[in-house]
Amino acid sequence: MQAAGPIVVLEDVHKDYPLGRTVVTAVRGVSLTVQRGEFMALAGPSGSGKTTLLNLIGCVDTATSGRVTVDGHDTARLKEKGLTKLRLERLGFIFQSFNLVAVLDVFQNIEFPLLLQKKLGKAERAARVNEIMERVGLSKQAKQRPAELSGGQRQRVAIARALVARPALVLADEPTANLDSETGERIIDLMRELNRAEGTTFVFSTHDPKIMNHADRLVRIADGRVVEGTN
Amino acid sequence: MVASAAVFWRIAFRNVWRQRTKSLIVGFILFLCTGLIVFGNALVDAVDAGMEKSVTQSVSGHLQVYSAEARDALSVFGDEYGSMPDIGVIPDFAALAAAVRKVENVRAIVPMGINFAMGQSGNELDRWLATLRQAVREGDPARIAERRDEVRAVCERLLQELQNTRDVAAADSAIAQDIEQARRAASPEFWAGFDADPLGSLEFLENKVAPLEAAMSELWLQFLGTDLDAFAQNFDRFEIVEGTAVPKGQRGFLMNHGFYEEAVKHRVARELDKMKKLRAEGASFESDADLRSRRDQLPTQYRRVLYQLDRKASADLTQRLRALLGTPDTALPDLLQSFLKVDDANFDARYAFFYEHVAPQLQLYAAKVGDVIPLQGYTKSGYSKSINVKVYGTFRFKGLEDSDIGKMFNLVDLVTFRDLYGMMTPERRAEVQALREQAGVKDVKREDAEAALFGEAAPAIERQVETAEIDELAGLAKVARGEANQAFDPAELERGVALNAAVVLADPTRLHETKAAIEAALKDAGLKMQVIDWQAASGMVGMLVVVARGVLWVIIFVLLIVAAVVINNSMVIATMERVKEIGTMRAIGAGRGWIRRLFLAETAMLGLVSGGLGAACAAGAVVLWGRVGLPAPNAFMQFLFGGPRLHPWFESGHLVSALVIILLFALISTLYPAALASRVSPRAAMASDG
Ligand SMILES: Nc1ncnc2c1ncn2[C@@H]1O[C@H](COP(=O)(O)OP(=O)(O)O)[C@@H](O)[C@H]1O
Ligand SMILES: [Mg+2]
Repeated sequence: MQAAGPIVVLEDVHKDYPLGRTVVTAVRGVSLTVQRGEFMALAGPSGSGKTTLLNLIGCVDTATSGRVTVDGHDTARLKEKGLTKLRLERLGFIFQSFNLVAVLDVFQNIEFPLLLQKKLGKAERAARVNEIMERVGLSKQAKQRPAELSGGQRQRVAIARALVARPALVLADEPTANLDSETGERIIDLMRELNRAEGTTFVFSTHDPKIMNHADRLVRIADGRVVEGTN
Repeated sequence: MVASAAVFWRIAFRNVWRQRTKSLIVGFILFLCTGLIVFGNALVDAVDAGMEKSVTQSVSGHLQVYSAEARDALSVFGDEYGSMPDIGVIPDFAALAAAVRKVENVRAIVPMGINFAMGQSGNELDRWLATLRQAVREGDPARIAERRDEVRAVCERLLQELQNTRDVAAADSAIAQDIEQARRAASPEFWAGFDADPLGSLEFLENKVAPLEAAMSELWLQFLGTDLDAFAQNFDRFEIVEGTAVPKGQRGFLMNHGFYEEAVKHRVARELDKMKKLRAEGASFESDADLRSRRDQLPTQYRRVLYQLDRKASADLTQRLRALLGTPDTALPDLLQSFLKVDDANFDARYAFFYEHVAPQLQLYAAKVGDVIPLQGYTKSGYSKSINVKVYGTFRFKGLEDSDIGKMFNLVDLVTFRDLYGMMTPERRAEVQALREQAGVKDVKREDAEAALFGEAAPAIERQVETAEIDELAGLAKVARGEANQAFDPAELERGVALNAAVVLADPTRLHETKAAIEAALKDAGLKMQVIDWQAASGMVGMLVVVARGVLWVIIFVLLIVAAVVINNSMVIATMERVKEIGTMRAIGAGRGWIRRLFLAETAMLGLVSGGLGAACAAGAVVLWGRVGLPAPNAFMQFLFGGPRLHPWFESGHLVSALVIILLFALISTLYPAALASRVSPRAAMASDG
């Protein structure tokens, strides 16, 4: 699709959440550009607004004010269907608690986005899934259910699922928070490797200093504002 | 496309499995509903068919034709009050039959009319009086004395019985008068004067005393007047049990065998039979309330035995009972009462003794095959008239022997029916005219004529009856002629009047079509008649299946509502439990519609599996049951079942409609939770779960 220009552009983005009679402002005037191919960490303490920012970039939430452009689309202008399509075609998601479909095995979980896309035939899908399973080192677990896997293995499935449809941007919200630090670092390394090999842009959030250090670029936020790392 | 559908169904299926408890509950309700639809409808169908057989093959035929100007709707089994509706008349059955017989698929049309009459069994006193009169005529003093004493004994018993009636019925002036007559007949003075004036005394006994006894032995019967040959040919369930059919062109009466055994048989014998039957079915006096109350009643019936015994029989039975009961000095009334005190231990012996030693001395049936019985009917305006008819035999409706409705009707030839009902035929009209002239009431109105003839004021006539068709004097003509002429021209059956007519079809499945064709034919022929199907003709009874089906669907509907509520609730809960998963799918790129369809697919799958299972089980049960047959637990059920056993059959239409209904209900009740699920935000995927 759009090959040129930054993958994400945030311009003076604000996000308010109504909370009872008051309003919680989760993001206060963030401006940020992410270039294609970047491997970027969003760092900050708990409650600083990392998840909110990723939601805005991931087209699962809309800004209260300011402009969010993802892969050339002004997300405020897209309707529900357009946003779903954008997520399906251009974005990949990795979650803190893995969020695999419990009733599907490893292969089926990874295949899932391809099935939703309805673009590839069975053989092509299998080839794709097998390839990515190999990349994340899960070939042997293809028939296993998520419940039978370790945390690290589950997150590898999630990474494979996020990448199988070859998205332009992968968003990962604290992907290592539910893992021990050694496994966490290996997961980040895997992501880094895939970033290098495929040129996929990664934006991940973390509050773990060890993990942040693996990023090419570090953007620190606190209290809904960028405090370090804006370009 | 195919692959995405596959994963979709896989997810749906696995979710159904994952939520096993919920699925099991919902599935069970759906299982019950489909099972009930398939099974219940098969049952109702079978009862419908059974009842159709019961009704169409016994009395009503497939269609009934009667006057379009009828006041009430025709109901062959009577209305809910047991009275007969006023259905007008078919003035010319021949014309109707000619029009109807031309219609294709009509096998036969049978004329009918239903009425009540009081049948009187020739009673005991009458019989003794006849022999006494004979003896008086012959002038044999020894015989006169013997028979006089028998008559006297009967009169004494009659007085006693009437006095008992008074005890029950308080001080009724009519009964008081009767008792006065009976007391005179039982008094020593009366009998002292008998020999001085035997004929005068006999007249008093015949006119004043014998009717008292008759009033106590009256027997109400409902009868169907018809062309008996056509009836026997066209109603497949009809069969003669005892005696013979009524010969062609003869007047005659056929007693319903069930009625014969239960109403015509001697009361004490009948009670003993009933007790024996109940005991054979496993009841005992100890355990069964009905049996106990019958037992307690039985000894009070002893007079029914006592009064039928002549002196010789009385003496004989006294000896036997004294020996049996071991009470050498007790008198017969007390002996009989003790004898009739039955219990579980002595019942079988008493039953055997009764039939061996008592029954042969009794008139076991008030009227037997071969007897000529007087049928006393009431015409529309309330005059009574009596016709003697011979009882040629008893009959039953096969398979309906025990059902009340199967025992409802006796049969009589149509000519006698017309006479009792007061219907005019041309010959009758001429006779009546002659009678009127004799009575010197040539040009007066009919009411006045009746008053003149009956010697009393005519009762108010409820409505203007067609003088040409119905005449209450017709019966009088018969009585005036004495013994009714027992033969008639068979053509007379067709020529005259009927109240209604049963149409029997060759192919009953084409009932509606044929009904319409008959209606058209009647219209063309200019006959003001209406046609109803057997279901309508059987009145309240016919409504039963409709009501049963209604009740079945109400139960099914209630179950479906329960299922809908449970499905809705559990799916809403499932949605909440699955928010994160749904959010994840949405984030990854599943659209709202996809999520909605996923939920619907889950219910559809559950519905298909449990519904299919329910339908299959029900179908299996129906087939199995159809083979074995469900025994009718009682007489009424036997009527509904169309015989002693019900054989339901499997109908694929019910299976299809059951599955469609179940799926529809399940899907409708999932619409809301599915909509709820489709509105789950993809942000829910991000929410940390702590
Ligand atoms: N749906 C919401 N409703 C109300 N307040 C919210 C909601 N989501 C986040 N917030 C608030 O916004 C702020 C930022 O939250 P979040 O983006 O989750 O921070 P982080 O991911 O850095 O921990 C917090 O104060 C949080 O309480
Ligand atoms: Mg967060």
